[in-house]
Amino acid sequence: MSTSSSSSKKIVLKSADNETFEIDEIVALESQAIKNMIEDECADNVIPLGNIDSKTLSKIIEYCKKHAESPKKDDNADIDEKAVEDLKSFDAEFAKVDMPLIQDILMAANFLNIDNLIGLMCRTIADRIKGKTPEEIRKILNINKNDLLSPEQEAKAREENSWAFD
Amino acid sequence: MEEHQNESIDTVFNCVISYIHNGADRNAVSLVCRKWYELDCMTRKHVTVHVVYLPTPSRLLKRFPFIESLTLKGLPLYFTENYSCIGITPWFKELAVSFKYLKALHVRCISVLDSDLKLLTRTRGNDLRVLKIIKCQGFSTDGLTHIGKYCNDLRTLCLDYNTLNEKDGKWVHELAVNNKCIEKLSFYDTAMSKVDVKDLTLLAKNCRSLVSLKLTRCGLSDLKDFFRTAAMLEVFAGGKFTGDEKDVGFKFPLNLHSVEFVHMTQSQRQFVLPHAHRLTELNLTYDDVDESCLFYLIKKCPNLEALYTIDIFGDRGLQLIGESCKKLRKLETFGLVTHRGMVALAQGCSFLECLHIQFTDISNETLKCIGVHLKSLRDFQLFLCKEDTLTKLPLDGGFRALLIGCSKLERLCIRLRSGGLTDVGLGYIGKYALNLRYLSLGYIGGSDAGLVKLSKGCPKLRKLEIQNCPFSMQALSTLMINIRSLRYIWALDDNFRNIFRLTRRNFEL
Repeated sequence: MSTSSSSSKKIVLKSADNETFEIDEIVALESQAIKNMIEDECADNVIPLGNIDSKTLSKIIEYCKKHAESPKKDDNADIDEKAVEDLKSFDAEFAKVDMPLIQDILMAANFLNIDNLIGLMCRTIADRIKGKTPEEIRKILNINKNDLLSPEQEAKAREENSWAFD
Repeated sequence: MEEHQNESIDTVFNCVISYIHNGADRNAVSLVCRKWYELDCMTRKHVTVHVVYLPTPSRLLKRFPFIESLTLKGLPLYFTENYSCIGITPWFKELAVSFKYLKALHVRCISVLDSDLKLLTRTRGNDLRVLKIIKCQGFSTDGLTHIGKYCNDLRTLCLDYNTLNEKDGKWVHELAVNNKCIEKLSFYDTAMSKVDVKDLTLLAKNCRSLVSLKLTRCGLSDLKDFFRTAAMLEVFAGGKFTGDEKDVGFKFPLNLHSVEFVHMTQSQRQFVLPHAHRLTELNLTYDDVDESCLFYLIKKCPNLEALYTIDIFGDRGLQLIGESCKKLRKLETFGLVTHRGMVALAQGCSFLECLHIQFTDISNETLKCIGVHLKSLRDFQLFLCKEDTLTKLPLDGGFRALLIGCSKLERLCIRLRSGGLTDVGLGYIGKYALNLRYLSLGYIGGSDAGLVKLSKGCPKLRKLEIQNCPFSMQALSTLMINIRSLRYIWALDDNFRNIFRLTRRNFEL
């Protein structure tokens, strides 16, 4: 799909719903998992990602592209401040999506081992549940009601929380 | 499908939990579902325990076996005067054998014995990096000597505001000999006159990373060698100018940015001036500094973030701060000011988070102005001078505007005159003070009906103190039931006699 520079090596990723994404190898290397596969030479031309759907995968590629293009912090001590700011605002915009997609991205980033993206998604979720009640948190994250504490356990925990453990 | 969803939410939470640090958020998360409760139990690093409600540690150990930092709080001294003080012994006995990951311990407002300190330091002394014993009583310098001997890896030792029996100053010597990594040592406002300054110099020599020393009043010229040795020192409190600083060649260390001292005169400004531009904190709470000296310093310290001063010399002082100290976040003063000074300060110092101030007269407009400008205010203490006759009461409308504007307010302490607030005003506190944790009201007026209105709000209120209390005991007891987060109510009459003290659950005094 992307053909930014024809000379660089390409990697093809295939999503769970069989969509393929051709990307520059440098972009794919943002994922530690893919990097390992390539280094161990166990990556074929096409890397199947059976647990990531195309919507999530395209978001992840968008993220990796931007981060691959940006100068790395450890490269150069006096790294352009504008570039840092630019990346920050990209991240802030990137995280403005609904909660199910954030969770899918976090799962996928976890699988692909993309540290920065895991951190970004975790911070986003933590920010969204900050200051909220348990009921609100359940709603925000769509928590299954089968695993709730029993009313007695909850009452006890609540009591401890308010008097002893803050 | 459902299983997949469960699995995915588990993965998500496994990742996210390490990004949730705030105690209140942790508490909320622990109630979301069983898995999260368990995960929180295993991963919580810091816990504050109010030992009044949890006198022994067994429950804590069961729920949070891996905590790294523990704060144990009793009740303020004035609350426990006729009550056999809560002791730390059962806790230290448990700490001696469990909580193997504990690195930081903070004990506050609890009775601590020398034998407690001996047990703690001999069993856990090597593991502790941070030890704070503050506003405690019951121990002597013998207990501190154990700390000096056995806590060899301590980075922070804080012993402020304790009432202890000072037998000798050996403990500092032990600390200086046995510890190489102290970064912060503090025994501020704790009567200790037997500490040898040579031991402090030895400590500075052995602990090259010492950045902060706060002690109980000591001549600065006597500390000359200490300051020369403690090259990394950034924070110092407890000094006293004695007049011979120049003769002995005294100098503050180069990196100093926070300082507290007394008895500074014009001729001693020279010792502070080289550091003025760098100073972020200046504490003159106990200093009898004169007007010209204070104004001179304010003008020379543009980076001040905290200023504590007994007098501010009227509105002119506040105006000067508003012009010069744009980064100020904390201002505490007992000096008298009026509307004019307050407006200048609010317009100039929009980052203020903590403001303790005393007015000769105040208006609803003044309070509105604070609400408009000081959006970061978390801690506000307002005293209205008793002789004031100019102020038009009540101040209900002003407080409404202030509370709406300053929505982050966590601590509010007001002393007005009877009629300062009506029931309507008390209702506003309930309605708009959504983040308030501590509320202290004095000479405000109002009736039980107002208290009922207040108790319909303030969902986070923990402590309520009332001076010259106009409310009935019945109304106060009802308040305790209505505001579930409330830990205690303490009411005094006009002569500071206790008339009502109530803590939650079975701990009535």
